[in-house]
Amino acid sequence: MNRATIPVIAFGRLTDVVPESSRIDLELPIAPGSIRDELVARFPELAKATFRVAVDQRFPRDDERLTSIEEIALFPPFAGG
Amino acid sequence: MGGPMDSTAPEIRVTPSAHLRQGPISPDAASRVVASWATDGGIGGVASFLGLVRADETPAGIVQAIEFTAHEEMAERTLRELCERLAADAVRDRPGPVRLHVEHALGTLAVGEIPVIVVAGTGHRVEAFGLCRAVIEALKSDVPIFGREVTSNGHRWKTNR
Repeated sequence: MNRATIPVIAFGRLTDVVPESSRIDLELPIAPGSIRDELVARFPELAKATFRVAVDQRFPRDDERLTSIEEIALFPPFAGG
Repeated sequence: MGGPMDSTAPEIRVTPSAHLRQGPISPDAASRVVASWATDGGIGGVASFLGLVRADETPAGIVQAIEFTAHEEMAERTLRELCERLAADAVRDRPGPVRLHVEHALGTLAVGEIPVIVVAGTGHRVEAFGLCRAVIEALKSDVPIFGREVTSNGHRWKTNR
C-alpha cells in the first residue's frame, strides 16, 4: 500500500464541478470503482453527473487493481462531430 | 479464397490519416484529399461526410458557435486506432486498398463552419459508404471531444443525438 497524490483533469460540463489543477490522494493499489467513490466524496456534485473515469488515458476494467496512476480524467458524454 | 500462405491472395492496403486541428476545416478539404489519391489506381469509390455547426434553437437561445475542446492526446490516439480498425474491417470481405482521411477541429467554430470531415476511399462504393458512416459514428461515440454551444443568451454544453 502506498499513498499517491494524483492530478484530476475534468472535461466538458464537468469543468463546472472539478476546478482546474485539482488533485486527489489515493491509496494504491485501487480498484476503478473505489476511484469513482473517492472522486464523488471529494467533488460531491459528481454524484448527480453522468461521467466516465479514464486512468492514464484508458478505461480500466472493473476487476483491475491499479498500482500506479499518473493522471485521472473525467469525461461527460462525448460530443464530437 | 486464398489463405495467408497463398501468394495470389489480394493485397489489403490501409492508409488512415486521423488528427485534430485548430480552427475550422475548409470545404475544399475533401476535394484536395481526393486529388491526392488520384495516383492510387485501386481506388474506385470515395464517400465523404462533412459536419457543419448548426444554428439550433435551444432553451438557452439560438446557437451561434461551438467551442470544441478535447483530451487531445487521448482523442488523437483513439481516433487513429478506430480508423485503423474500421479501415481494415471495411475490406475484410473484399480485400483491396483503403484510403481514409479524418480531421476534427478544436477551438471556436461559427454556424456554417466545418468541425469534422471523413473521406473514405476504397475499390468499390459499398465499402466506401460503409466505412465513412462507421467512422463518423465511432468518432461521435468513442473520441473524447466536447463542445460548448455559444448561444444568443449564453451558453450550454452540447450533447450528441
